[in-house]
Amino acid sequence: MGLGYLLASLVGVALVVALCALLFAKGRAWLGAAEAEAYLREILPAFAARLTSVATDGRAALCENAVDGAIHLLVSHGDRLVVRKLSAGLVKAVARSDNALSLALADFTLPRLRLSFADADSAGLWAQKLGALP
Amino acid sequence: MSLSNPVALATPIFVLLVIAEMVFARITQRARYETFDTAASLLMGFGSVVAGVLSAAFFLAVFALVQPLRLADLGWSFAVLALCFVLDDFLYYWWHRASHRVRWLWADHVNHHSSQHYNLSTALRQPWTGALTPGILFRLPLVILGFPIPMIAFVHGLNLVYQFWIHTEAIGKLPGPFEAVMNTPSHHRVHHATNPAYLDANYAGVFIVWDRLFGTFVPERKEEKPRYGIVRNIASFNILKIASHEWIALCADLAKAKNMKESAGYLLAPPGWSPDGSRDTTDSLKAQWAAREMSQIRV
Repeated sequence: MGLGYLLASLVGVALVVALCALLFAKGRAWLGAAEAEAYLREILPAFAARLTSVATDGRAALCENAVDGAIHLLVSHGDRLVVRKLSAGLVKAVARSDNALSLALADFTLPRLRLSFADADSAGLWAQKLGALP
Repeated sequence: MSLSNPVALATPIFVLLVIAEMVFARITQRARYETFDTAASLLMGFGSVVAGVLSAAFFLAVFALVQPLRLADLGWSFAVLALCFVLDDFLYYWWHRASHRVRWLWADHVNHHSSQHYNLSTALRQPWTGALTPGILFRLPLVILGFPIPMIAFVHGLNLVYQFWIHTEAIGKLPGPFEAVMNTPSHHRVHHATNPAYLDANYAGVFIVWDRLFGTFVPERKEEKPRYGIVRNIASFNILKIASHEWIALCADLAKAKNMKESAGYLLAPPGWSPDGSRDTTDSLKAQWAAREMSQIRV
């Protein structure tokens, strides 16, 4: 297998990706509270929503499970969602500024997150809950 | 006797079929592509080719080391080739099953499952780090039985070529006898699904009969639409993160293990295992799901 084969493969990859971009509009999963809760009900066998707050850009949400008190973070990833059950070990830092929360997570596959909520009370409540994670 | 590499020969056809499926998906909406996801899958495939070239010498050296222990010289004939193909698929089943149940093997295999999409590009999302796992042990019985090493490599390539076309939502269920014996898009959709009802099922490469024989077969049900990916999906299209995320998590766990028993658990127990049982495994998810199903039946 020569360098020519590898270069031709890379050109092939680039062409297929370009065609994909041309054929399919850029997907983005947008969240509403009902969608976030329905998604968690679908993927978690034991889940009932107690409290859900969706970031104003619709790209992330925090959701508290009434069954076990766990807090789940939902993040938009392309046209799909990624979920993490938050724990004290996973949440490295929470910083609140007015109606926004910045989260630093010990998970290098997740981006650094800034969630802006509709009001400062929501941000305060979640900051309190995240600060008290087991 | 020398044989060509079936995967290298089939690659241009793979590319044409991916393009055909994209066009089909655009027209019919029966499949879905996402540009960054597709790019990640194709680049993972490209990386696995490079990794394969780099690790080929290691695999061949291990094969050559074991070859003197062979029980026979089976030589070259169509019958031996056919037998080698079937036995390789049998061993593939066990390697694949172990790759989902042993975290050391999962650290490598997880890459193939890391897309939340299921299309022909997903078939090309292949891992890079097989040489870091004990996976080669599953292929050594063929060497010990006396199959020629080039034949083993050739039939394994054929096996992988077969598995390409089953990574699609564009094909529904096929005629009964075919679904009964062969691995199909329907069976493999179940394998890639994270729905608790579908977890840890359908490990077959070519012949689904292994799953039927060893109790891991689960049919696809219309009312249970597969949801693809992994139990703990990753939010990155960065191929370096895709290729390394589970290795890094595994190393982090091993670093904090308090004793040999914990180290062995992290390395050899199913993905998600932890000493205090605080994390979800596929077994715990299936148990929770079964409990929910039972409670709904009672209501």
